[in-house]
Amino acid sequence: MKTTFISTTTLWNSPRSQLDKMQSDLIKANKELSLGRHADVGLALGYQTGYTISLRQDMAELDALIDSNADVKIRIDATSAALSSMRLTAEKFRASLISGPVSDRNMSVLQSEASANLDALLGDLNKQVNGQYIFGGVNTQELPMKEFQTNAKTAIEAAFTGHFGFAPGSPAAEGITIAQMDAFLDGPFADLFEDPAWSDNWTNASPKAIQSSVSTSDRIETSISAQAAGFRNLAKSYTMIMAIGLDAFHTDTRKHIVDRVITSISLGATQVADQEAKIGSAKNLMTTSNERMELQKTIFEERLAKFEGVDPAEAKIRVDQLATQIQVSYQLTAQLKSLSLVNYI
Amino acid sequence: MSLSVAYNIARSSLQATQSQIGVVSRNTSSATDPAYSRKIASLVTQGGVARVIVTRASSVALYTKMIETTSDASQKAALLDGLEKLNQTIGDTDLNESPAAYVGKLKTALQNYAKSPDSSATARAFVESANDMATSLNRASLKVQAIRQEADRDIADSVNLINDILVKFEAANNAVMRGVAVGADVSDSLDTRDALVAQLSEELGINVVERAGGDMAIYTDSGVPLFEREARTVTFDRTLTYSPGTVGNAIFIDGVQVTGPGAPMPLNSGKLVGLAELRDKVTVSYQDQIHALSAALVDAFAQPPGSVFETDPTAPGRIRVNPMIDPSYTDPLTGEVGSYDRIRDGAGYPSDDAADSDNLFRLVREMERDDRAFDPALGLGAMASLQEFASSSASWVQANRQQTSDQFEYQKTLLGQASDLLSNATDVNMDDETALMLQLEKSYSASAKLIAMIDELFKTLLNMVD
Repeated sequence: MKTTFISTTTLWNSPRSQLDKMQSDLIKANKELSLGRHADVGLALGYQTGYTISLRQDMAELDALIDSNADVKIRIDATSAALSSMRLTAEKFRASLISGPVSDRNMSVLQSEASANLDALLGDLNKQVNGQYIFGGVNTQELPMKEFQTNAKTAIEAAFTGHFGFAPGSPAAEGITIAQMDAFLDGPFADLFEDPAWSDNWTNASPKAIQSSVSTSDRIETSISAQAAGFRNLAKSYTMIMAIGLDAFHTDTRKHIVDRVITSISLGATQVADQEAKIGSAKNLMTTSNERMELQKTIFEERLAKFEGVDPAEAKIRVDQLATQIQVSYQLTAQLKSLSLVNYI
Repeated sequence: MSLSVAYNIARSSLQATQSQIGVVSRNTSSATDPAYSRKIASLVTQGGVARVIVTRASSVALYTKMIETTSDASQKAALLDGLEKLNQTIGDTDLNESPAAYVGKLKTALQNYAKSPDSSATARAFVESANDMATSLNRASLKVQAIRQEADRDIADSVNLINDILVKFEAANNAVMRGVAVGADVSDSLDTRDALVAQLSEELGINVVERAGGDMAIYTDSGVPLFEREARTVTFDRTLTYSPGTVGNAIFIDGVQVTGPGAPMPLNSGKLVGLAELRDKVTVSYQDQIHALSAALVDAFAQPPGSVFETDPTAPGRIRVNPMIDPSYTDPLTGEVGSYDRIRDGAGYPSDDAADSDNLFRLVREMERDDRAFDPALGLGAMASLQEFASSSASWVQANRQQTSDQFEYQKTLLGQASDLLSNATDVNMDDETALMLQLEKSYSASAKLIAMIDELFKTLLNMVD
């Protein structure tokens, strides 16, 4: 009775029975060492795989948001540059209006200055960035401000003629009193800068501002529309000087108009400054969002590394261990060759 | 006369030693064949005459253990193989090729589009991303069908193999019974029979019962006779093409259903069980999940006439991107040209303004909605967002794969141990055989010496007579 019988097959196979497993483990460890992550992430993570897939998508979304924020930033920067240029022009014009008594002024110089300012205002409002009209509201593909000469100017002259019975600049204008002028300016003229006339004669812009999601949670307005009140007041001020025949009025009326312009241009400039502040705070929010998202990305990356990553030092030790084991197993197999009774008889 | 009796005994001992040496060389030559079991030549003396009876080393308990472990291991191997194929629809998380990754990409593209609705570049990127999404889901669904088809074919192959083995087994069993009846050496036939049983145990779980006269009967692990006096037939009808909802046929042994729901005596282990589980459960669940995700996408982006996805009328369960949102498409019937603006404007959000993003942000919110209802029977919860559901589905596959892989590794270790134990109990040790041969050599030369000595005695006797 043999109690400890062992077959030759088992004996010979014993040192290398685990060899194929060790070899595949070695391949795995090598891969993990070179990549720094699990060789088969799905197999290693099991039910947690979906989590890392989502995590990767969240990171990609953050990247996309940060990238597209750069485009939005260009628009915001262009908008605030245009706004500040409009405000500066208005302030300069106001300064020139209050610099001396109206009676001494050369009316045609004043009028051409107002005309140039209006052109500059319309030019700024028609600014385009990356194929978008930045003051068009959500209507970014249509020129925001209509051609002045053929639209607004005609309307203003028609309103003047309708109110007084003669065209602007006609000698009869000399007789318009301050009260009559106020009635016109507060009546038909003011109406031209209110809806719906403003949209009919002046602008194609949509009152709705462009919405942008600057982060996964924040959605803000990132454009200013040409419909804003500040632009209307500036346009109103410039046209009061240059479109109703200022030089034809009596000096008192003229002085009164210039006083009114000083008030309305101040109001317009303040309103534009408000818009500047508004777009500035949008930019601020975007910048902080970007910082927050960068931080979030770092956290996500760390979490991803925690799930999918392997410790390279540990992998290296595993590779060394397996290599040694495989070597030992080879040596033992070779030694078994000499262990046969046949060799000794 | 006692001298000639001694001579005869010595002669028979010589013969017995020769046949013992014959067995030793048989053992030595087959030492490396794992299916070979050690032959034991036992010496029997009857009336002073030595005779050799050949038996073989066997261990029923260890053999049964090995058969059981083989069935379990091959069941897990078949299932794991299928899950590895399913894993191809997900791939490494790093590659971002899974449906879950495409849901994420779709959302990112939509976010970008919502941010620059007036840019045709972002609109095109979104439509392309939607196309990728649909392709990824359809590819996964097709892949599942291909896996089911392969599993069905593997079942058919396995059934054919079982029937073949059973026919061979019948021949081997008859040889054993004939040998036992005439008292011949049946050890080689027994080896053949055992090897066939081992082969059979890979395909399905079996129990073997040894009966009088060397007969052996095979039952499945659920008790259906596979071989009893004669081979029973295993039948299976192949299903050549699989489409969503196709139910594969069950396997019958001797007319008894052994797989599928309602089987009175269902198989418990073996490759067949693994394949049936793959074909009827795992793949079906996964395909249902894919289709649920497709349906949820169609639902989330439903805003006729600007819906982004629609069910593909030509193939059940599949989706496609609504061609009318792509400006390169012209409807052949109405002549209407597709437009990105349909996505932007949606249903109930008509707008002419290029940068109006209200509807696009609504779609983003639709994608983010985490109270989207899903069938809880899919095993992924009753409510989830699109991303959560898609990720859970990937997790489900990987969890299954991890679990099956662990179980397979465990069964493989068990099988290795069982084989080693069986090998130790029944296989050949060459050193032992060599030692035995030396012993036989001595006994041979002793008998030969004896004959020579008796010969001398006869010679002396005969010389004296002269």
